Amino acid sequence: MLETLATAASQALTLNNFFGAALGIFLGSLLGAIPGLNGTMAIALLIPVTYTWSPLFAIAMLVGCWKGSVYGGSISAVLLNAPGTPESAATALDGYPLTKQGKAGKALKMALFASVIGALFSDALLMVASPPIAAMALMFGPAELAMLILFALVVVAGTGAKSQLKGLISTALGMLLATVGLDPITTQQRFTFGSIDLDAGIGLLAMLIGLLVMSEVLVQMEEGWKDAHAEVAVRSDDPDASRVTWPELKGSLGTIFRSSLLGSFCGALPGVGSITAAFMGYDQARRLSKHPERFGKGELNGVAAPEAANNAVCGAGLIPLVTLGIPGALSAAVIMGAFMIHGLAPGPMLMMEHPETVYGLFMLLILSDFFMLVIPLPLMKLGQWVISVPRAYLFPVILALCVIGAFGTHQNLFDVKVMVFFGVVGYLLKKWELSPAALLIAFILGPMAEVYLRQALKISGGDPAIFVTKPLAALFLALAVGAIVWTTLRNRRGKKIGLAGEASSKADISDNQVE
Amino acid sequence: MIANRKDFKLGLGLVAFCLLLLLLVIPYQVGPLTEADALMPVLVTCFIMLLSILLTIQAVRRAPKPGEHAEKAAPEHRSPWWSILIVIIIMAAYAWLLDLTGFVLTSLGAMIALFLVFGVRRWFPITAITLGTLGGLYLCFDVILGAPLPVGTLVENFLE
Amino acid sequence: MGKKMLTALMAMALMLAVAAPAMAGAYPSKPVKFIINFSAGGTTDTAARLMSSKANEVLQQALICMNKPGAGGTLGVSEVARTKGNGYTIGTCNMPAVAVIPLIRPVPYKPFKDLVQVCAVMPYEYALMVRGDAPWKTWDEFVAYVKKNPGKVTYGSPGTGTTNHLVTARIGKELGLDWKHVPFQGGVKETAALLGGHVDMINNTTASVASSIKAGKIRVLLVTSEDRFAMVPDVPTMKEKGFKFSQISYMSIIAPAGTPQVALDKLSAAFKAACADKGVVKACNKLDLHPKFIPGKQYQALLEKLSAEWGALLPELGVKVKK
Repeated sequence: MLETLATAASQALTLNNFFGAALGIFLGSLLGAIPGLNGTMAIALLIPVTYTWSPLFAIAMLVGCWKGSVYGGSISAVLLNAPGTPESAATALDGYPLTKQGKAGKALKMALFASVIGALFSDALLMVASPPIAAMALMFGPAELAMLILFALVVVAGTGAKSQLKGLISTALGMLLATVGLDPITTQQRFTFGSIDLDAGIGLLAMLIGLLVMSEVLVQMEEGWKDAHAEVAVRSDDPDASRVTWPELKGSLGTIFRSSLLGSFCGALPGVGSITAAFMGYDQARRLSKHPERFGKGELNGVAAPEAANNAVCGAGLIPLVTLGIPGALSAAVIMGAFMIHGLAPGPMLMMEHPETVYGLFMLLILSDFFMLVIPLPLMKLGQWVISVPRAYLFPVILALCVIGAFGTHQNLFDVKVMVFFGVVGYLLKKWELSPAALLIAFILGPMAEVYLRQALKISGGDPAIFVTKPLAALFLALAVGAIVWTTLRNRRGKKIGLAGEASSKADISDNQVE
Repeated sequence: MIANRKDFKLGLGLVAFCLLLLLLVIPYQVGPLTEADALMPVLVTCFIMLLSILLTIQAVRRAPKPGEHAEKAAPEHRSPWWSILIVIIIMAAYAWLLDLTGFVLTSLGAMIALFLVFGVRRWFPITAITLGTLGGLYLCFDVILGAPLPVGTLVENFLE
Repeated sequence: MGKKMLTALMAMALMLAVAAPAMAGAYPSKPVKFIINFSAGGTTDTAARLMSSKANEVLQQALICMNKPGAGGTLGVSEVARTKGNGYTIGTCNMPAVAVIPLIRPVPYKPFKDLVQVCAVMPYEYALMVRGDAPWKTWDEFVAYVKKNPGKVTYGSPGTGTTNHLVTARIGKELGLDWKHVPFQGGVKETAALLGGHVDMINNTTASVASSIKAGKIRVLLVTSEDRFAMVPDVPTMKEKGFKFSQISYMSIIAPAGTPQVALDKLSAAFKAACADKGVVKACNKLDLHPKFIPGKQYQALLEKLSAEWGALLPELGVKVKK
């Protein structure tokens, strides 16, 4: 064992590999931070290039790139309200209001600390607890996953909307959009309007870029931008506005820890992924907070929670990959290709046949977490400078990047059209106060719910009892019901408080929707 | 009489959209409503319709929250509606022309047009930023990554 | 001033766009686009990229690999089908994308008219497998169990209309088995469901689960490809068990119809060399992939035969076909 570790260390801890990990993180956070571009695209494009490199160098760089991009996305989310990566869509909900209050530096640093803690947490899990976690992940079959996704949907439905009703409408619209493409069970076409490109469904990244980035340009055009405004906002005189104080970090540690746990859980389950993790992390922070009403208006915990969760997915996403040969997340699937092209077939034999490579990879992962504390710092500064650039110079570049970002991932021109279409849709949604973020998360969860429900019913032969007779499924079903009851009760109580408060101030009684 | 006109219109619009889906689009694009393929789309559409009806009713009774748009900048910084429309048109043209004229040429045109719409009139920053962005992307994709950007069928034919 | 600059810019951009102008001369005179119809990181992608590195040398031109995954491989195939047949666009193809899927739902290409099979380069190797701790040690034991417990056993496939689904359903039909089909979305989720005990048996490629098979987590009961596998030499093939069909699907190289014969010959020769190249074979074997070259005409005939055969069976196997 010790010998293996020593060999692993000697193979992994070379200057070359350090450089690989650092370069990966730098590239990842840079691409993540640029609105329109993202890490999945970077990884997919880099794979053929890594073909000739040594396996550890290539994999360390790709994983670094993944981690970096998950953090990097928060930079543009916080500064521009234009999430650079899907994972950071939840971060923008509270990050951008903080920027408007002149606390961009604080939000970015909190996101960084939360990201690093989340990443360290899940890498530690990957190192010490892979086998039991992988075994747990396997316990989730279609029935269990169906109920888990249902629970997730109930919990995150309506995130980021001003009223509950509009939040639910956004959620349902997202689920409807997700049915475009081939039926997951019969493989017949649905809503494809005769276009082969739609057979594969609406591309998630293309849709996201339009919905969150291009639409933001249109919204900011309409609402008007004061070019001086951003500059003033960022360069606030108060030194505390650009750093995270110790009490603040201590106050968020609980949230960060819970989010890391949630993120690791989501990462280990094949296909659940980092976007779900980020939204669930955000929601648990809001629900368990003493001040849920502050969320969406610039609550620091609302930045820490999704960032810890989405970074915790990375390490955990490698657990089923390394132990079972099953990738836990989108990017992990692409990284699996890097393993394969270097002759390392992921699966239970990997640890037995190439333990030194696996341990070497673990070492590099932990190391890259520490790199992540420093490497994005210059980017943060750069980002803060960029938003002080007049918007008229910034927006054409962002729009061109949206086009290349939509095209790049699948090298598909159709995706560019999808992006522009959803740019307009996103603009209209924001205009009508519907929530693009809620639509996005439902777009991801909706089809999963449908597939797993129908698969579970196929297994049981059409008998819905499968959802209560399987203990884990029953547990999540109960949690989902519990969440609905809890929300209703809380709303009712909130309404009473709202009514009382407003009656005394003789304000408009109709404004009593406390969400 | 109707307290919140915006929501009222949105609610009615969504109801109409759902009816259109249920009566015309789903039977034609998905299949008979009774089959498993159509179950999910139908359920979700009905759910949206229910919510939109609720929204419409609510809009009749409740006025919009006060102070919702307090953060808007002074009017002189706002872009008029037609400029937003122009940006959308430029972007649509951008997406549809990529097939024909390729990434570099189309982006060049689109970016310059966008700069003009945003009110930039100085040639130096326009050329510097446009060429810098496009050159960087070209270098990244075509030279470093070996994943070529679309050349465009017109350009391809022209070259042959 | 402005106009002049604009013209200059246009000229510059044009120059940028032109990496290598096509010159008249022997094929290939410029890089060839190689569209892989599955996503980066999968078996097909890995094999295609390994082979293209060798084919490059023979062609003396770069094959530019691009992934166009989705919709069971049909997206990438249709991308190839709609280009001009000049030899500068080729792609990978799987058997269902031309022989089965066009029968199930509309696709924008005529599989045997718009496309030419350049050659087949690698058979996908399939088998029926159960969990390592399952009570059934052999195929016969498993069949006996299914017959004793009608309606209880479930089997997974990577999706409706895949060869995995069709072959397994046909086995069930010929043996009169009462079992339930659960389509998953791809081999990965199918394998996870088997390992977690949510389905009893799956039909999957052996390469993707080689590591689990070697570790004893998955047991192969029946080889559904034509020949036995070196990895599990004792497991019989379905032909040996008396079935008159087997699960045949190759990864093949396609070009759009109208591609000049010279180009087809050169491409075929390049891939033939790649399939025989020691380096490529060694790299593939590490992943339990086994390249094998079949000339295009021969494979095309095989596909047409398979298409007719499966097409006649689809309704009987319970697959919803296009209206």
